Amino acid sequence: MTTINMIPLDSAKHKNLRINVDRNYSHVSQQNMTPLLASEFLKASINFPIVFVKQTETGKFKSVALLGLDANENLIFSDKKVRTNYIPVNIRRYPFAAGAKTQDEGEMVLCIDENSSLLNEKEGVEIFDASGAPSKATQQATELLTDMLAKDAATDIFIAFLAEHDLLQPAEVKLKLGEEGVRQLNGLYKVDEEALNELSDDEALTLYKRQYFAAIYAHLASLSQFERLLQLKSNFTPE
Amino acid sequence: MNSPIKNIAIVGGGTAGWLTACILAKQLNNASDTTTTITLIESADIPTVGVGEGTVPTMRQTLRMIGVNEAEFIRECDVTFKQSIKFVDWLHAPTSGNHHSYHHLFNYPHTPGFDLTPYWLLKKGDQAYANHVSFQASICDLNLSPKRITDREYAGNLEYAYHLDAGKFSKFLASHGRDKLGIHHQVLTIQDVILSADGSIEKLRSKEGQLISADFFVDCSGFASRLMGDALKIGFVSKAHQLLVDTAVAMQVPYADESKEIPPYTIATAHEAGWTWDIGLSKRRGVGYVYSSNHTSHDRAEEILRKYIGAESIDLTARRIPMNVGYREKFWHKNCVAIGLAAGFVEPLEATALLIVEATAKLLADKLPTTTKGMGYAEKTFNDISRYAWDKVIDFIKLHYYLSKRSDSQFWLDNVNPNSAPESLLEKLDYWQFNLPTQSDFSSKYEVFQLENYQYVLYGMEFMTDLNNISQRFPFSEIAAKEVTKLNKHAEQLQKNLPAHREIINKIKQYGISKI
Repeated sequence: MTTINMIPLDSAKHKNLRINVDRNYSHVSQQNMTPLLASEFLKASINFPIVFVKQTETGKFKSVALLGLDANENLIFSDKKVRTNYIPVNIRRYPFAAGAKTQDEGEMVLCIDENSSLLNEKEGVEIFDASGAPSKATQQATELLTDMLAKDAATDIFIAFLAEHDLLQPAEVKLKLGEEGVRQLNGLYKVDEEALNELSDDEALTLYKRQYFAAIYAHLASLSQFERLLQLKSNFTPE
Repeated sequence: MNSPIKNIAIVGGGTAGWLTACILAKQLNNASDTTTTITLIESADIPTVGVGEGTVPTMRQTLRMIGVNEAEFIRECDVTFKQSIKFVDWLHAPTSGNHHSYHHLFNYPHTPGFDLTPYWLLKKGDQAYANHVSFQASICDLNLSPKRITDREYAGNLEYAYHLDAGKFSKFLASHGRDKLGIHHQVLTIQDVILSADGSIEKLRSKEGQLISADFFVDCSGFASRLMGDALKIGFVSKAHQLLVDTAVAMQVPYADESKEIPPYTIATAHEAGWTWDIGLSKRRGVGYVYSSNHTSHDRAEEILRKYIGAESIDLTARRIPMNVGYREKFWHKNCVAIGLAAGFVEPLEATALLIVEATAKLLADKLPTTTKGMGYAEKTFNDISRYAWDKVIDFIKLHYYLSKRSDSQFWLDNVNPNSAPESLLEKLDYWQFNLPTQSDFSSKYEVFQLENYQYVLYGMEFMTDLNNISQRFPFSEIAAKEVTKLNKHAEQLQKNLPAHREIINKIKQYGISKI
């Protein structure tokens, strides 16, 4: 597997590049989770577990879709197959990403993974059109990423609200894995239903007005998808 | 007569006063019921001493108990983590750049169902005791953090306490106590203490002419001991014949290089007539020399301190603090309890100042009777426990000196004179020459320093417990060796996973710490 090298899109350097379309998203086949926006919870919840994890750099919570039960294991996108009816934005955007222009500035620019095997000069959709302007596909990617950034910020606010109101707790997931026996997954967090039910009227109204309830219950409902991952794992042969 | 105890007045607004106020408020009241009124009276004219920039791990429980947000505390009090006290040059005077040192770690020695100490003693390998029985020594030496940014509040991979700015800490506790715990705060200077016929305190009168009555008083007025000493005439038991240091000279040293690593431990270095503390906070170092003025001059002491700090000390002024080592004859008298310097003082060698404040404030919260009935019993129990705890603290501090082999100055010669050591310490040391120290040597849970603390100091100072004639009692040498191998492996893993000390402090300031 090549390492990702996101660099700002350059109309001169990347002028003749095209992007091959990979409907199997094999670039994530070694990832066991992917960031998920709160606005995606409803659609994701019938496909895989949605949980909260702490980011190793900051200790802050982030919502993720759990795609595998072992390190480097992806049970949803692997084997040139897609076992979900919903593709998270963070997977769909590839090989594009939004990157900070400079380290200190907040301004974001469109970046591309220079090492992506999807890039070539022969097949696929063009990045720049004949006149050197961003192609329609590139414009769509920009729109998708702009929207993703806004929703990501909203997701952070949603999660900070949960944390500040003591609504998160360790998930303590125990899995029965054939010969291995019971295994506990650590470092996963979920909404504390008891604490949720004990919110004051004012707090509950705030949640309602901010439209957080849908995301919360979609997340809670998605926890039953651990069973689905287990099923997939029982028939799974690593690539 | 039987009347309820509902109003408590605390005199003094230093760390002792505010920590006591917060502990009492939390233990005696709850958010919806503040039946017990707690008032802290602080003088605007009297400066606080600001003892204790070091703490021990009980501070984590205390802060958590009173509802402090750990990241906020770290941000506002320039806090760093403390995992050990490293004692340098206590066994031998340094010779041509060679320094003996040992760690007194906060992680207790690893005990795989049995004590590894006898196996270390019988084997006499090259590895220092602390390194042999714990993985924390190597973490300290590499200046690593006891926790990661993903670990929840007050939890770590290793035991830890804090280094803190005492002045900022009392201000932090003050606003926490006022805003979150309903403590009443009055800025007044106490002028008179008015006693009632039975000799208890009835009222306080301030310089401003205001009268303050309460059912119970807590004296946190520092060395002045305005209530317990001045008003109630409770005497002072000096321990100057056992612990010889009586003065400190201190400096606040800014960092020349903001990116330089901060040791996650206190460095206590022995010198000709005392020892220096060296504590790295996030914004500066706190360094001081504690010495015996009977063995050296104040000028010479300041010279030693400046020499220890080096060039960075040139433009800095030193502050001298006289110390009175010992404790009150009573800690509780009638309706008054003394806590902090008003109760007693020993040199800050093992960060005992705040530790004793925490312990006595919790004991007071536990023993304070709800009505005047039973007051006599509470007083007696509190005094017995406190006096016992103080004596044991003094034993432990003396141990550090008494095991020294230094003979380079009269100070050290006087310190190893058996006449200067408490009998309760000498009899234990006698016994431990041919017998292992065990739990039963520390039978009271009110002893602040337990078996494990003694083990680190005894064997860090190369105290000889000779087990050669009873080696048959220790048949698990193979298991012990395996456990030590496991320990070393675990240490290697931790070394890879734990962030650098300064890095984690910066991250906590930026991102905070999750409660879960």
